[in-house]
Amino acid sequence: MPNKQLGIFLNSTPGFWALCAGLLVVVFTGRLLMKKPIGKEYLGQGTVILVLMLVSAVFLALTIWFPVRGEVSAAVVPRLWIVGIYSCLIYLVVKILRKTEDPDEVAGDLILPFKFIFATIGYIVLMVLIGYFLASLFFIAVTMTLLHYKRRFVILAISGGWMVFSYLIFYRVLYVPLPQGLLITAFFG
Amino acid sequence: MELLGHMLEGFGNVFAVGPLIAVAIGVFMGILVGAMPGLSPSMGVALLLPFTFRLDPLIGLVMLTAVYLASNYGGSITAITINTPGTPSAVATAFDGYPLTQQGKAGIGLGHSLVSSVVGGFVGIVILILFAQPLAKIAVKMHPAEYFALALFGLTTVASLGGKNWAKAFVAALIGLLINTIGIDPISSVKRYTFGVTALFDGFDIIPALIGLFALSEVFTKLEEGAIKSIDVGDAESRKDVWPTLREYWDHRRVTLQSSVFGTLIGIFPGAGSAIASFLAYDLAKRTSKHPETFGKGNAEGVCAAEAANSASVGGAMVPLLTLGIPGSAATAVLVGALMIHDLVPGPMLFTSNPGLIYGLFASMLVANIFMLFVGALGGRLWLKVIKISPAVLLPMIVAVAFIGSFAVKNSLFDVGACFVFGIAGWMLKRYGYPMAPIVLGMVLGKLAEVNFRRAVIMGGYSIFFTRPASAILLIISVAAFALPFIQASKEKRKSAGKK
Repeated sequence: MPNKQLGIFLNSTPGFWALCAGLLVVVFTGRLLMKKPIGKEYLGQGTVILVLMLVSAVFLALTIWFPVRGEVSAAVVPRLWIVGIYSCLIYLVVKILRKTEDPDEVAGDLILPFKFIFATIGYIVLMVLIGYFLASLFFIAVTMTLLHYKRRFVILAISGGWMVFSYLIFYRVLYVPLPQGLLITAFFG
Repeated sequence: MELLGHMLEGFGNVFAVGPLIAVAIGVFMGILVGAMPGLSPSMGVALLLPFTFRLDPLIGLVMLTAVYLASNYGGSITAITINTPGTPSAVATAFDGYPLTQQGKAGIGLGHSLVSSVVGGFVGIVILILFAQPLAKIAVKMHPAEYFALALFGLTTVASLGGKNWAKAFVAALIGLLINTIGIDPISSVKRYTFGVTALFDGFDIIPALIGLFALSEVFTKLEEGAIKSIDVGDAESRKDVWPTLREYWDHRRVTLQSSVFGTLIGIFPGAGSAIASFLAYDLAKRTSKHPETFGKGNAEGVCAAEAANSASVGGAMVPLLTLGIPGSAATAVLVGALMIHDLVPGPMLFTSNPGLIYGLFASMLVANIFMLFVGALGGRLWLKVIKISPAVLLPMIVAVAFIGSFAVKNSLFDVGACFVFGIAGWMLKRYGYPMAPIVLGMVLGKLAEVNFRRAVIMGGYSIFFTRPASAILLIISVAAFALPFIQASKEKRKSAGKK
């Protein structure tokens, strides 16, 4: 059995973040290094393949520390799937190197999706702090504005309407205990 | 003759004000639950369960069964109109349903989805009525080796789903299978890839993953494409152009009936479920179609196959439940609870002790299908309005609904985060040609494949897959199904090279 302490660390939450940080460094370095051999037209696909290979390698490595209980250990099936992933990825790498794979499609406007993604992250954070209903009110209003919707009254009506609808239908009728928010609970109980 | 007498008694019980109102409420609620991403058929049945406590057993069961039946159809509405399958079983419907919407033919997709769901539902129930007991005996005799072979057979759909991008489709399916290994191992209780996160002990739930991969990734793709204008549905709003003609429905009779029978048979196997039924039926329809190249590009046959199969699987899933007391799916497990609340023990005795109730239930399922046809047809115009909404309104709403759906599964914010991460991952993978459906297929089949693979090996070693005839035959069919698209592709390649 390899170093047990290392296994415990890698299987913990700090270990997860350490692995993520390590993966990011390797992916960015790999991206720089692969630019020349595969060309700019395959850089996106190359990066995806690299990420998938690295994540699979990490998953494979972690199986070493799975305790063996019974005849067929818990590591057998994940290893089987990882071998499958590697086989297909290697085939794709060969196709890219031979330039027989279709090149990456030209990227569209990435600013708007990233703005929207940041707004969504903010939505999740707000959901934790002020609850689903208020967070939805802000999120819908902000993103509709972000998507160049001009009629302010409609923005207010839709975001406010959704807040009321979700409260009545999901919270009251369907008993879905949507988050109330840490701040709201702390101030209003 | 005895069966006919029981059925007449059943219809007599159902054709009363109470049961008919219960069917109508059940169908309406079921369609709403199915159309709402995140609310699964089992959740719909569970949510209505408390309302049936004080009702007559027949009325209560009729309402819950109608919810189960209609929610399988409801999932297709959002799959076709906004590429957001309401249920896992509607994923295969989106393959051709959404391209139809993009071509301004959403009504064609919705019409075929409705009619094939109704036909599938009918076929499933008729098979349930006629062959429930012998079929149930076969299903429970299945060995884990055969279940593993069945799961593998389910995975063969990837070969035809992937088309030219088969390697990427396989990677996607294997990612789904690998994601399924996260959590506590079901055989030896070993924690796998949980990283000390308690929420990961149960692994990733399929619903947040499904919503993220389909709904959120589509939102990001639309934003990248700059599609801020609404989808142009042309004249589709005028009722005349919206629905398929009777001739068009008739033209799809073969694929609808074939998928209905197939879906019922898959539904009978405990654990297989409507999602597997719809994927397999879609694959079968593609392989047997005269125009397989049009699948995935808006071929109504694909919609018919997926919808007929997932609705028919409801009848199939009721077979082991009513004849042996074995729930084959999450929704039927909730139905077991409903039966027990009314002091009814599901199993063979139910047919002799309560024939009026059982055959009344069968009759109500047939009636529910007719209600579904009316509600679906009347709601058609309303569903079409969804796609006319400006994306500036629709896209934020999709996210808000997606997060409610993800949260509602386990009342956990972790699932909301998971949905978001799956959305980003789905967007990235889709940009580089990795299809989303095989990931979902992998997640659906993962547990079935792993648990039965390991059980079979424990019971009889690795050779058991080849020594049991049924398993060996299924494996041979699986290998053939894997190989067939490649053989056909190479034949076509040779043909076109010969022509040149």
